Amino acid sequence: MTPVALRIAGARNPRALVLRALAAAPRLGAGAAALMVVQQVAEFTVPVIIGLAIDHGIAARDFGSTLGWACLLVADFLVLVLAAQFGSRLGLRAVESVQHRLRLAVVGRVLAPTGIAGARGVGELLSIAGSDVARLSRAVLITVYPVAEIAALGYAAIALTLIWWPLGVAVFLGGLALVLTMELIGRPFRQRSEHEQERIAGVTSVAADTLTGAATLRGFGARDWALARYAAANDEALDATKRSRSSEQRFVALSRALSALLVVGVAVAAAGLAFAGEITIGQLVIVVGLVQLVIGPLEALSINLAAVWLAALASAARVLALMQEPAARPEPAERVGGVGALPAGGLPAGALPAAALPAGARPLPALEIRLGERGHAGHRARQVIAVDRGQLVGVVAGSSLASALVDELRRCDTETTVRVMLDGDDAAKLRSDALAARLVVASGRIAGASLPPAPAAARLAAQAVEAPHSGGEHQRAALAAALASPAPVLVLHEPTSAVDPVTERLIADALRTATAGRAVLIVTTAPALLAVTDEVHLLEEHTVSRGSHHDLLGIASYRGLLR
Amino acid sequence: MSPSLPLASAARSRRWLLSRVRPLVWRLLGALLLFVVAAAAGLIFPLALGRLVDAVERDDAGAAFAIAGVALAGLLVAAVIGAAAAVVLTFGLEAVLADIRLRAVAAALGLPASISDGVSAGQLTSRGSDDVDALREAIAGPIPALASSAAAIAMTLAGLFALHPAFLAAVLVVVPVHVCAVRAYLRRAPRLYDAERGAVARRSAWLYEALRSRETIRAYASAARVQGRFSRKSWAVVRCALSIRIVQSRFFLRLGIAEMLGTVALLLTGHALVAAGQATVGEATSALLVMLALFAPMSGLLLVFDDLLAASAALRRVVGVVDAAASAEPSSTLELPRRGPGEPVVALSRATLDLAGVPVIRDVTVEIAPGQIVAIVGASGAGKTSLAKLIAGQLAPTSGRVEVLGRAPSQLPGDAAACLVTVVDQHPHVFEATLAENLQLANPAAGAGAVRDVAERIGLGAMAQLDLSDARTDGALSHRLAVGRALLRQAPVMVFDEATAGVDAAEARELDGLIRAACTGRTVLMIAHRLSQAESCDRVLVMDCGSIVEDGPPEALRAAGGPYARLWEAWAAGAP
Repeated sequence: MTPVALRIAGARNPRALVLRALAAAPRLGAGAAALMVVQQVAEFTVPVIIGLAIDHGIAARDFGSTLGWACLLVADFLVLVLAAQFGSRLGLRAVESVQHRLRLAVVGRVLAPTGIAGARGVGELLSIAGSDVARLSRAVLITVYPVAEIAALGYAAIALTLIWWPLGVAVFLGGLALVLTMELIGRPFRQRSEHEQERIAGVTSVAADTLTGAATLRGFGARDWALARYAAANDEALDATKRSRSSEQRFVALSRALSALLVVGVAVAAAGLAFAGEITIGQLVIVVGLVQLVIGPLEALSINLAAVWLAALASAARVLALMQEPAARPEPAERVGGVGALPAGGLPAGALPAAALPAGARPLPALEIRLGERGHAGHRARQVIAVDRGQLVGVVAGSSLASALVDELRRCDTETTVRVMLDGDDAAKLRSDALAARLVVASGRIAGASLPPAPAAARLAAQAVEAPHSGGEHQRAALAAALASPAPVLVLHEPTSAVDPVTERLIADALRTATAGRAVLIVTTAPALLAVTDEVHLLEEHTVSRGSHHDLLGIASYRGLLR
Repeated sequence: MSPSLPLASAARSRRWLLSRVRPLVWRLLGALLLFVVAAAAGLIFPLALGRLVDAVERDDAGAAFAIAGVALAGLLVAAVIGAAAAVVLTFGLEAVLADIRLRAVAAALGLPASISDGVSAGQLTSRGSDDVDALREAIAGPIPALASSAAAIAMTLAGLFALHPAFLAAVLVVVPVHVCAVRAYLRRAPRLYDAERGAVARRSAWLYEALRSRETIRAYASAARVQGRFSRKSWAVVRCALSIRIVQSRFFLRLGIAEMLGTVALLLTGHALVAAGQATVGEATSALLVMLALFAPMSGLLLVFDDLLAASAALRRVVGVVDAAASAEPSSTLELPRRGPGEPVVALSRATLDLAGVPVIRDVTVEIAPGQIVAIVGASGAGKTSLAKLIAGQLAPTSGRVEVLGRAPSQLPGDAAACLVTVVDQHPHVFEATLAENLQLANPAAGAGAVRDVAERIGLGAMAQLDLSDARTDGALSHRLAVGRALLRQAPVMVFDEATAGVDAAEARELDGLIRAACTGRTVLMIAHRLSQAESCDRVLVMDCGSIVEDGPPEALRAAGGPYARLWEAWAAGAP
């Protein structure tokens, strides 16, 4: 892998980020630029050699001289093609390495344990990690091609100056004026092109949204509805594209017309010189040939450079906004109770800081949840749910209360209304890696393709199947991953809500063995699971009742909450 | 290895593309003609410069301004006509692309359940949006470039011929070099492009899954492991791009050598012709300037090759989906047949279903009377969802008969089957639209008032106009939406596939109540994972290994001591 140095974090604004991306692969970029300069210079030498061959060979009817110039032409072409070959490879390598690195950085930020505070859809994140990163990294080419193009222009200006200095100055100034004019005229066109990009991106995201909901659409026979919605976005994008294309072509025609004026003007001036006998026919050919070639780099500089730069700038703004988005759970300032790497496959009971307590003192519970600690409306009274190592504790609550509790357990930061203590340490003061190592909160959202692999024992306990398909099978896979995690404290939220009763019973039977030695809190309304707990807390608006599942069955509101 | 969507052959996708382009053939020919005119006008410039050289040799200063005027006029005409040609061509191409985009999404949506059930959402999205995007990028810009380059090259050859046939002969000497270069390129490049598209698709499908389950990655602090895997996938794309560039740059090398040979041949031919008095120095100059002007179109042609191969790789993926989709024309209306009282609404007779050679439904015979509310229970994998899909016409029986209101649902075109049987699936999707639009999809004919009423009934009245694209949608909202859709929908048979899976008991009870209200007077099949749901149904079908093993009212089955009674005992073990 090619070494690429790229720091995004410190970039103050999009411009700074683009500049950093430009400089991220300095050696590759410099190598590519050097080779492309050689290629351009060799290309611009072709008309020079041809002019000299016409002068000294063809016009003078000297075959030996023509042959000599032909050999030089071959040598020049060989330099040209070899430089182009390796230059373009190095250039692509530079772009791709920077793109790879940028993409890793963006994905790293999105998946970071601290999370992102804002609500961003998967489609938006995909588009930032995809096309925005690609456009930003294409800015690397600014250090390659424009550099070579400017070198070519300089070379042409020098060659022309050697023939007759005012020509060189005229081409240089004329070229500069052309680039600046096109830059000015091109602004509205570029705005339209941005607009078009947005519309196209819009169509893509509608397509993704439509296809993600394919099963729903099929079930309701609503495919026509979805296609009509997509067709409307598609038509809109087509119109925007057409408008943008026609303005783009107007711009191109204007740019060509302006450069035609420059080329013909120079040709007329050179012809005047030739008539006056100041320059030879061969020199006239060189002038005309060079000016004809100069148009290429001039157009590239006036059209491509700004487009690449502005596209990179716009993408850099989006990338930077994502990278600088505040964390959902910022890392606490100081490290408390930092436990290093935990042994895989579970932790022996009592191995955590509680063991360091003075002899005779009662060990702190592995998990202690202090409700209403931070003055929340929900629980007037201060209530505590404590789970010791080796204990299986259930929590029964109405759906919104249960979800709110699990959500707060998942976040465990200073903003939450409950205080979570792990072996006596305030979880809000734990860094995210330490927290994840000590507490796993498996809520309904914790599922999908990114679950860590679970060993056979955990899969068996959770009744997980190969290649899960139905909702219940996915839930069992998620439970297997939770059971397999090495964290000493486990919170399960409705782990079997989509599982059929027979399987649920099998899972309940295996739960205690599968979680042996750990502190487990199950937030559920499933009787089969509650039946195997040591004790259950019934959470209501203002009160918390505590007892065994069997005892609590006597309370009407408890029975009402069970499913 | 997970199953993947089919890929069309290169020949098949070419034919398909041609069929899409055919209506525009006159527009495209017109554009090509304009390109030829533009290239011819562009040729005036080097030819005029040759005349200028001759005028200098003759010392005929008077002719110089006329020649310069013609040269300028030629360039201006070339600029204007060239732009017009590009506009005509791109408008046509963009229309074709918009049409392809729509067809690709329609095809991806129309994939039969037997194919789409096996692939991940990421794969489907990648085909329907990423590949179409790639196709667009590889066509919208490059095809006009190809047309313009081809016209320029043809005109250059014509110009050389006009100057002197020997010039054309000298340049044509290098054609074998070009042929070799193109053949060497085409031997290796297409495979590399397919590999690149595949690597990109794997990268994005994987990223899609990772982003969707980012909470999971956070919960298990597995970001580092996930990042490592992503890094490998991303680097695989880089490797593909680099190996393509190597083949490309070799192609460019060979083209450059052809150009060199052509230029040298022209120089020597020019010398010979001038020495023999067959051509003037000006004509030799023109020939060489014409050749110089060919540099840009030739490298343009190279880049186009590149894009065309990328387009072909993307096209094969798109056409693969188009071909796999049912060819039935979309139709979402159906005259509901009248049935006499007492006749069954749903009737299966000896229906079996094999998926990928595995029997999923075995010899099922059952009749459901109008207005019945039927629960289907059984362990995961017992065939509950497959049975529902048979009844909804999403899957066709391998043998036996499935009839709803006397018609075979799988034979009905497009969405017509959903007018008979509407399915509320396990994971109702919340579309990036307003809540009202999300409801309306179930019945586009429903007025704003009806939609508002339904929004009220599902307790989301205050959100009716809220755009749900940014809302962090939780399971409860999507299930509520699904029930709202069912309320709006006018189908005689409704299937709820674990419609309350993943929500807790209190919420589930409320949803069950709403479902009841939604289904008065209709025939309902409820795939239940909670026995409390089954208990409140008229009739229970117990499934095991693809067969119906028990059938009857819940209380009777409970008393019968069979499989349902055992399920009931398991469930009730911890129950109040």
